[in-house]
Amino acid sequence: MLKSFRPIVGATVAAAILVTATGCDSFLEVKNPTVIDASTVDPVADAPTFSLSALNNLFDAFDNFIVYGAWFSGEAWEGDTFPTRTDIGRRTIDFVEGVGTTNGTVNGDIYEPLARAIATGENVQVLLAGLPDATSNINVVRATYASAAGILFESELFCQTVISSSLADLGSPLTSTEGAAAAEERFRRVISQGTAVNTAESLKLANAARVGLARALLFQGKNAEAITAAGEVPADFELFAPKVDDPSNRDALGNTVYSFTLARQSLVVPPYYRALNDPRVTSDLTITASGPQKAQDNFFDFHFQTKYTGWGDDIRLASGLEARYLAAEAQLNLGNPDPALALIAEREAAGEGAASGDDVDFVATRGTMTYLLDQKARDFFLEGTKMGDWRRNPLTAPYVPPAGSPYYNTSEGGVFGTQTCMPLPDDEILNNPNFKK
Amino acid sequence: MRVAFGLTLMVAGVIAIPPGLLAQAPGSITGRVVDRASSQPLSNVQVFIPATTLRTITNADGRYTLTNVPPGTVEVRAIRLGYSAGTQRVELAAGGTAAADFSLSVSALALDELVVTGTAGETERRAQPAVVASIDVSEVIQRGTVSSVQDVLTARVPGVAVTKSSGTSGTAQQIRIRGASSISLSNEPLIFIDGIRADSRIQSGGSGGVNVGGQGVSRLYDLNPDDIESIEVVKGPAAATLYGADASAGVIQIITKKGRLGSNTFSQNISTEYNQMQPQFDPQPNFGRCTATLVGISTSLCAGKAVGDVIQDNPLERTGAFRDGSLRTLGYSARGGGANYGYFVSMGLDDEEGTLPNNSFKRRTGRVNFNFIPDAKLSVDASVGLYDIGTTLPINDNNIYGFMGGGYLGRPTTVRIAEDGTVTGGFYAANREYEAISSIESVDDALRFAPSVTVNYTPVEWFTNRLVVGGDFTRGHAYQFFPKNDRNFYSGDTDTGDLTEVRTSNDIYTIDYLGTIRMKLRENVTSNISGGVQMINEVFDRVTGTGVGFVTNANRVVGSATQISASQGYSNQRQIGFLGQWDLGLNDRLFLQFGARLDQASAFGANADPFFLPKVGVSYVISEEPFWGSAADVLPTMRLRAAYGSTGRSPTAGASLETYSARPYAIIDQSTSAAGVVPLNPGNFDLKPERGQEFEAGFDAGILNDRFGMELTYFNKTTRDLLLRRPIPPSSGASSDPFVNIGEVVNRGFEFALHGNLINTPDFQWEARVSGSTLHNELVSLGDIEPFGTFPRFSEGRPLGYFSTRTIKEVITAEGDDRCPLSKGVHTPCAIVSDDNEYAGSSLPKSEGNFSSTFTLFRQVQITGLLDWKRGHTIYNNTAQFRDRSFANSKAGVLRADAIGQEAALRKFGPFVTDTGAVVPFTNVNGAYFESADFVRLREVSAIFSLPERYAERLGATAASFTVGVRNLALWTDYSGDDPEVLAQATRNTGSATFAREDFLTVPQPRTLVFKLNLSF
Repeated sequence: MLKSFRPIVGATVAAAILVTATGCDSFLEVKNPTVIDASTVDPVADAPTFSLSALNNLFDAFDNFIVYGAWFSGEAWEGDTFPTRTDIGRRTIDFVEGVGTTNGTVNGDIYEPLARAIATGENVQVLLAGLPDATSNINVVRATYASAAGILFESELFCQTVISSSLADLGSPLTSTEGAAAAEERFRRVISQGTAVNTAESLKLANAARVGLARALLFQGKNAEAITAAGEVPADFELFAPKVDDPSNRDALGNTVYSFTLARQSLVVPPYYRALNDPRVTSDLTITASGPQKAQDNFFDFHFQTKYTGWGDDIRLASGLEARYLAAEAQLNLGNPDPALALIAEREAAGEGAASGDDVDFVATRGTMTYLLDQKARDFFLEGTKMGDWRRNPLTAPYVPPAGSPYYNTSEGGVFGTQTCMPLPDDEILNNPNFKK
Repeated sequence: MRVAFGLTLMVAGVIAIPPGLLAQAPGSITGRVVDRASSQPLSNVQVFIPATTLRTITNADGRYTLTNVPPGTVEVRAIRLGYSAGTQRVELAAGGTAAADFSLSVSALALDELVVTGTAGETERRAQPAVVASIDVSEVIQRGTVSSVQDVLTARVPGVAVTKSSGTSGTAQQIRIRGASSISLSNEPLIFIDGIRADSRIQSGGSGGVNVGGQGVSRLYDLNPDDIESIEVVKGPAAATLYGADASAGVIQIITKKGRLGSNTFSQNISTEYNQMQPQFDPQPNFGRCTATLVGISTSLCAGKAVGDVIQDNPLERTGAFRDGSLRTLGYSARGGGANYGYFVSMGLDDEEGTLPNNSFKRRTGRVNFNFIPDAKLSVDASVGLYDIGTTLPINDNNIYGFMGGGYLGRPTTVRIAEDGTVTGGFYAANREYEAISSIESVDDALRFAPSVTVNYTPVEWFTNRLVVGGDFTRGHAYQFFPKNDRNFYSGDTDTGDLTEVRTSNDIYTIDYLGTIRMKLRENVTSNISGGVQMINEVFDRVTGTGVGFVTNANRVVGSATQISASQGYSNQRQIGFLGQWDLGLNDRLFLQFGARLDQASAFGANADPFFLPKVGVSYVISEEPFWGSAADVLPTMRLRAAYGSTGRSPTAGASLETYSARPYAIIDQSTSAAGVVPLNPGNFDLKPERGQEFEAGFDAGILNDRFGMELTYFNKTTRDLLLRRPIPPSSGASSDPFVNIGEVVNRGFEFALHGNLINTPDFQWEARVSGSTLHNELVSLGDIEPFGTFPRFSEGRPLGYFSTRTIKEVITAEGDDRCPLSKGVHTPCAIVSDDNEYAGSSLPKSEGNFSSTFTLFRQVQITGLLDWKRGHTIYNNTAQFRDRSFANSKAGVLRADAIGQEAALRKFGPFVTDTGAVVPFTNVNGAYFESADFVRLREVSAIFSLPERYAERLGATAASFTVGVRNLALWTDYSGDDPEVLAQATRNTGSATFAREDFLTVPQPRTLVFKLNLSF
C-alpha cells in the first residue's frame, strides 16, 4: 500500500513545484532606480534637457581641456604623482602598441569629456533635424554650439579629431585642420540660427560662435575670413562657462582648475609666469612651519594660481578681447602689424607695464607675434587659449619649454619631447572601425 | 501569493500519508563511542538512525542517547571525521531501552562522512562524485592559532586560496577556488550558513563603507569561528549545480554547532585568549640631498653639512607609528539537550587593537541553535545568529592621508629640529604628521541578524522533506571624519571638518525546499530521486551624506555642515531555481548521479529564458569489490570518482539595458543647475550569463590499513560566454562599455592531499598532512575584442590579468654605444628594451601547498605546525617603484648606482631606449618592480597543554587546556618588499582591477603570539 503512494507523492510534489514555477515572473521583477532606462525617455519631447545637458558637457570638458592643455603647453607645471601626468607635462605620451599607462588619463580626463560634448551635441541635432523649426530652435543652437566648440578644442589639443553622434554613427579620423573646418561649419550654423531665434541666450551663443569661428578659421590659415568673423564680435562681449559650487556634483559642475589647485594641489604656476609680476597672472605660496608648502608630488614648492578661488568660479569661454587678439594675429599673418602693436600697447597698460619675464631673450628675439602672444598669455592665463596659440605658432609662441630641454621635475628626469599635440587615446583608435579602414 | 500557495500545497500533499508507523510506544537507545586504539571516549560523534530525523552528538565522555525511537530492528550509525563509520543493529522493544556502543578506528579517509553541501540532502561522501572538502573547525581551533573564519580557511583545502590582503585588523580577504574564471564579475565563492545564503560582501568607499585607500571590510570576518562545527567547500560546477547561476566560483557552506539531543546533559565552555601582534617589518627611511638653502637652515638636517650630502630620516620609526597590537577574546558556550531537544548557545567578545593607532576591530556575537524532535518523523532546527561589529580602519595603500603614505613618501629635507629637540616635518605633507593622521576616523560598524528554521519531515521512511527558510539582515553604519583644525592638517576645505556618513541595509532571504524519495529497485540497487526549489532575494540600499565645514568637531552631523551633499545606491537581485537529482546505487559501492537545475535570475528580466544546468557523476568504491582481492593489502580503500557539471554567473540587474545617467547641467549666467542626462551604456539585449562547465576526476585511497589517506583530483573548468565589456570608442558619447558574451577561460590543474597517522601509540601520536594544488589559468579567447590592459593585462593564451611591460634586452654600462641617448655630446650608459610590451609574470599562483604536523604526547601535550607556500606568481612592488622613481626618496632613488650598482640602476631608472634608439619613458619599463611573490610561510605553530583532571577540578572545571602559539612566525621569500601576500586593491572584487596583485603602501601581516585558556564545565 505504501509503495502505491510513492507515485502519488511524487506527483503531488511535482505539482506543487509547478505551481511555484508559475509565480516566477512576478518574483523576478525588480526595481532598478539607479539607472535611467532609455526606453522611458523621449529626447525629442524633452529636448531642452538634452540640449542643455550637451552644453554642460562642453562646459565640463572645457576646464579639463584648460588644465591638461596648460600642462602640455608649459602654461603650468605638473606637480602630480601620477606618472601619466608626467608624460603629459613632458610631452612624451606613449601608447605602446595600444597599451600605455597614459592612455587611461588621456582618455578619461581629456578626450572622453570632449568627445561626450561633441557626440551629445551632434545627437541632439540629429534628433531634432526633422522638426519644422529646426533652423530656429534654441535647442539646436545650444547643441550645435556644444559640438562646434568641442570639435575646435579637440582639434587644437589632439593630433586628430573624430566627430560621432552615437555608437551607430561613428566618425572617421580627421586631421586637426579638417576638424577646424568642421567646427567652422557648425559655428556658422550657430550664428545664423542663433540670430534667427533672437533670444538673449541665442544671441550670446551666436557671438561666442563668432569668436569660435575666427579661431577655427585662423587655425586653417583663412586669415581674411578670420578678421571678418572677429570683427563682428562686440568688444565688451563675454561668455562664461558657468560653474556651480555643488558638493554633490563637483565633477559635473565644479571648476576643475580650482580642483587641481585646492584638492589635488598639482597645478603649479611656473617661474617664468611668476616672474612677470603681472596682475593678470597671480599666484601665491603658503609657508608652513616646515617651509614652503609642497605640491602633490612633494617636489615643487606649490605656487598655486589665484585666478579661480572657488568651485563656483565661472571660466571665460569666449570674449570680444579674444576676438581682437585673433584678428590682430590674422592681420600679422597678412603682414599688417599695426593692429597687433596697438593691442600690445593697450594690454601692457592693463598689466601695468610689467616687463616680460624670464624668457626675455626669447620674447625679444622672436618679434611681434611673440610679443602679441605674450600679452595674450597673460590676459588669458588658464583660459584654454594657449594650446591653440602654440599649435598655430609653434616657433613664436612664448613660454613653451623647448623639445630636448631638461624636464623641470629633475627627480623624474628626462627631457621634453617633440610632441606638439596629443595622440588620440587607444580607446578611440582601437575601437572605432573607421580607423582600421 | 502563488509561491505561498505552492508551498502550502506541497506540504499538504506530503502530510496526506496514511499513518501506521507509530502504533507502538517509542523507546530509546543509549551508548558510548570510543577510539578503538586508545579506548578513549570520542566526543562530537554524530549518532543517528538513517532515514529518520533522529540524531544526536556524543558528549565529552563519548556518551549519547537517542529518544523517540520506533520499536523494532533499528540500525544505528556513528560517524566522525577522521574515523571509519560504525554501524550497529539493535532490537528495541516498545517503550524500552537498548544499548549500542561503538568502537571507531582512525581512518584517514572519511568515506562514510555525511556531506550536506553540493548534494541533494545528506549524502555519504562515498556516494558523492564531485569533491566536497570538509574542515573540522572545532579541531582547527583547538589545535591552531586561528581567530577568524579567514584563518580557518587559509592553507587547509587544496585548491582554495585565501589571501588576507593586509595586516590591518578587520580587513577583508580574497578567496579563490580553482583559480579565477571571470573578468567582469566576482570570483568570490558564495557563502551559506546552515543552508541560508549569507552576506559575504566586501565593502569600502562607494559600496557601503568608507574609502581608506585600498582595504575594506568583509562580512565573512563577522563570524565567530567558535560557533562553527565544520565548513564544507564545493569547488566547482560539478558540485555547484545545485546552487545555481552564481556558483561558478564555488560554494562555502558553514555548519554551526548544534545541541545534543537525548543526552540530558548540560556542558559549558569558557575560553579566554590574549594575542600580541607584532608589526614584523622595519619601516624604511627616506633619503634626500642637502641644498645650499638647507645647509643654511640651522634647524634642518643639513646644518653643518655640505651641499650634496645625503641625509635620511625615518618618520614612522621616529614617531612610533607602528606598535604592538593586541587581541582579547572571551567566549562562552553551553551545549546540551533533553530527551528530544538539544541546544547550543554561545557568546563571543573580541577586542582587537591593530598595529596602528587608528585601527581596531570589535566583534560581539551571540548564537542560539535549538533543535527539537517531537517524533521520529519531524525535526525542527531553529537558529539565530547576532553580530555586532565595530571596525576602525587606518587609511593606507593608495592614499596620502595614512601612515604608510605619509611616512614612506616623506622627505628628510623638510625635517626641522627645534632648540628643545622637538622634531617636525619629514612626512609627506607639511603638518600632516602623527597627530593629523591618527585623528582621522574611519569607522565601519554593522549589526547583523541571521535567523533560520529548518524543518525535516519524514512521513514515511522512504520520503524525506527538508524546508529551509531564513535570512541574513545587515544594517551598516560607516563614517569617515577629518576633524576641523587650524593647523592645515589636511588642506583645503577638509580642514574645516569633513564628514561622510553611510547607512546601508543588506537583506538576503532564502527559501529552499528539497524532497527525496528513496527506493530500492532491487535488493542491491538503491534509487533516490530528489526535487526542489530554491529562491533567493537580495536587496541592498545605501544612503551617503557628506558634510564639509563645521563649527565644532563635536557638532558633527551632516545637517550641521556648511556644504552638504548626498547620494544613494540600490540594487535588488533575485533568483529562482528548480533542481532535480537522481542517485543510483549499486551494491553500495557504485553510485551514479544525474542532476539538473533550471534557473532564472532577475538580471535579465522576468521575460528572459531560464537556463539549464546539468550535471552527471560517478563514484565507485572499487576496493569493496570482491575482485580487489590482494590489492587490499596495500590499498584497503580505493574510491574512483568523476563528475561533470555546469553553472553560471549573472551580471547585476539592468546590465543589458540602454541607459542614461543623471547628471545636472549648469545654466548660463546663473549660479544654478537643473537635472540633466548623459548617455551611459548603449546596452546589449542579447546578454546572457557566463556559463562554466567543469569536469573533474580522481580517487581517494586508504593506505596501510587506512592509516594514511590520499586524494588526487584533476579538474578542468571552462567558462564560456565570458562577460566582457566591449570597448566602444569615446566619440560615441557613452561612458560605459556594454557587456557582451564573448571569450573563454580555462582553469585546470591537480589537487592532492596525503594525510595520516604516522604514529599512533597510547602515549605518542603523530599526525601529518600535506596537500597542494596546481593551476593552469588561461584566457583562451577574447573573441574579437583586442587585448587590453597593461598590468593587469588580458590577452589570449595568457593567464587572466598577467603583468606586461617593456622588458630589458640588454644593459649597456659603458659610454659610447650609439644606441644610447646623447648627453652633452656623449652616448651615456642605457638599457635596451623591447619594442613592445611582453609577458612579465602571472598574478595567479601556479601552485600552492601546505604541510601540517601534529604531535600528541601523553594525551596531555599537543604540538602543531602549519607551513604553506605559493609559487609561480608575481607582485608589483609599487611601494618601491614610487619611492625610487616618482618620489626619488629611497636610498636607490637618491644614490642610484652608488647604492645598488650601475646595472641595477640602469634597470630601474634607465635611460631606456629601443634597439632603434627610440626613447621609452620609465613608466613603460617596470620589470624591476614586477617581483616574484613566491613564498614559504610558517603560518601557525602552537602547543596545547591539557591539564590533568585533578588540576582542572581545582579550577572547578571538568577539563582545562592552555595554548601557546604563534601565527606568521616566519616567512621565506625573495620578494624585496615587506610581505608578498598583500593586496593594495583588495576591495575591487569585480572587473579587471581585481587581478591587480600589488603592494602599494600596504601594511604587511603581523606576527601574532597567542595565549589561550580553555575551560570546560
